Amino acid sequence: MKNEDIYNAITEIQQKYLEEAESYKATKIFHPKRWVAIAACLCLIAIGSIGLLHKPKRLSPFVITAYAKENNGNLIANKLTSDDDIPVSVFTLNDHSYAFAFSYPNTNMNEKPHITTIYSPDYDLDENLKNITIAYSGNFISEKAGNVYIYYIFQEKTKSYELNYQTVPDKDNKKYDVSVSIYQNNGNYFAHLNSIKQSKSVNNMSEKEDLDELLLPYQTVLDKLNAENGWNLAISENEKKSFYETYKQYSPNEFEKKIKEEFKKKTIDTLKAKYPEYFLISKYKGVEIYVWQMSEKSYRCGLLEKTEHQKTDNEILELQFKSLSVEETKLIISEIGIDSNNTIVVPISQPYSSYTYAINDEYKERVNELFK
Amino acid sequence: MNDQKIIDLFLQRNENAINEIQSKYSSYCYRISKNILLNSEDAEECVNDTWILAWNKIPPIIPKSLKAFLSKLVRDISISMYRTNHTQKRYIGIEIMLDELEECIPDKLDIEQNIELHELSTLINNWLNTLSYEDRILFVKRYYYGDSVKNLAKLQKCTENQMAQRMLKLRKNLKELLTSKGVLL
Repeated sequence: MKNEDIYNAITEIQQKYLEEAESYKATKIFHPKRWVAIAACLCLIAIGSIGLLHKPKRLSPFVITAYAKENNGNLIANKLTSDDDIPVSVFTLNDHSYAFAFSYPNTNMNEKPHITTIYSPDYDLDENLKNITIAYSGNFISEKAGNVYIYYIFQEKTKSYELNYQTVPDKDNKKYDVSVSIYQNNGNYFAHLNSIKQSKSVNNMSEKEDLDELLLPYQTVLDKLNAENGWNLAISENEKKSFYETYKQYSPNEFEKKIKEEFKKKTIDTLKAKYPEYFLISKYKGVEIYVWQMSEKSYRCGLLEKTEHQKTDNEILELQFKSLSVEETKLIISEIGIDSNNTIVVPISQPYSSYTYAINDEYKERVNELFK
Repeated sequence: MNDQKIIDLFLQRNENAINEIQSKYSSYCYRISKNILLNSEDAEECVNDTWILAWNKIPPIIPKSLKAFLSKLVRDISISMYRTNHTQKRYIGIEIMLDELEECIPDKLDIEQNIELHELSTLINNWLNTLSYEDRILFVKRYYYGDSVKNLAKLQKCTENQMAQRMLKLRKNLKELLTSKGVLL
């Protein structure tokens, strides 16, 4: 027998023991008898978010306050910590649902307090009723500017609740995922701060939607260019923001021109690296463009400098290993600066292509058209 | 959403089931795995694996308690993670826990003796029933949920040393039981 066998056997212990251990939380800092779960929606006095009895471990740049009501009716605000279990009261709303209340400061909220209403997973309510409840939620506490108030609303009192919440962005646009457990012990409820972690995604949905809207004219231009030239230009999700920052100064027409230039430059750089010999062709001597067909709509080209002598079969054959598209060919010729009068288009067939076609006058004319 | 509705989603092979258990039980499962491994990243990985395993197991299994079922899965996955990686990584949480549990193994029990898992768990379940309420809670919190001795001491408002002594007494008690039953096995 190994220690792991005992571990595995413990994994199989009865559910009632798990529930018993899970719901047990002893605390001696507060005296539960002093706290009651109230059943009235009343105007309550808010007290600043000051910890009363101990210094909690700081998990984040802000402090979350949990609200509870003493049996003399006074509202108490305590710092929610990961070290201790803090009493929270159940506030009853006018629609007979219940709520726990929390708050935290946010300097972004200078004009008015921000209210967030979270419904428990079991809360089954239509939208109209939800609005009524939200209206009432403001009656718990006198909410103050500069604070965000969280109301966790539920319909049935159960032993425990899990509250997972993402904070509103702070002044540095950072958001935090907060996890709080609330459990019942001897008829009273206690909250425990499980974790506060900075949210992984800094962009929220509305920012993303706004950005998509701003990029729409540029996306339309890209779609047009893709359709016209058979390109495949797209704005990657990660680069949307920087893309917008780069091009926001251009109108769609200017943007189109700019993209064409950029695309041309990038293509030429690539071609120069790949086929440097093509860029050594003299613009004064001119160029012979050898064109062969690969399929019904696909043509490939190779370039040779114009010479007095006729090119050898081998020279022409070699071109299939450095073939260009028609667009690339036009780009190179334009980059070298060769005049259209100084170019000769020569339709050929290459053994590399299995596409069969007859090179007659009509065919020659069709191929010539490609370069006009 | 209540657990029965979530289980129904599993049975209908509706992928929203995963979203629902994630939102309801991720911090619960994370806490168990984190206690066992003491490694946040690996604990997160175990929790993600738990959702996949739950998806593969329900059906045919229809758990009576979804929460207990998920906790069992995350414990199994966490120990698998320990077995796979412990030569490269130190998982202090489970290493301490396993060292402590080793003390429960009876000395005279033949090391090759194969006790069926369910027999051993029946013994442990019956033994838990004989313990006082607080002792039972402490044992389950320490060896099922992986709560540290330090946290348990804080919970009971006693010193860490006092809590360690209390746990030692519990382990000795379990060892005595296994020794007495081991003769019969």
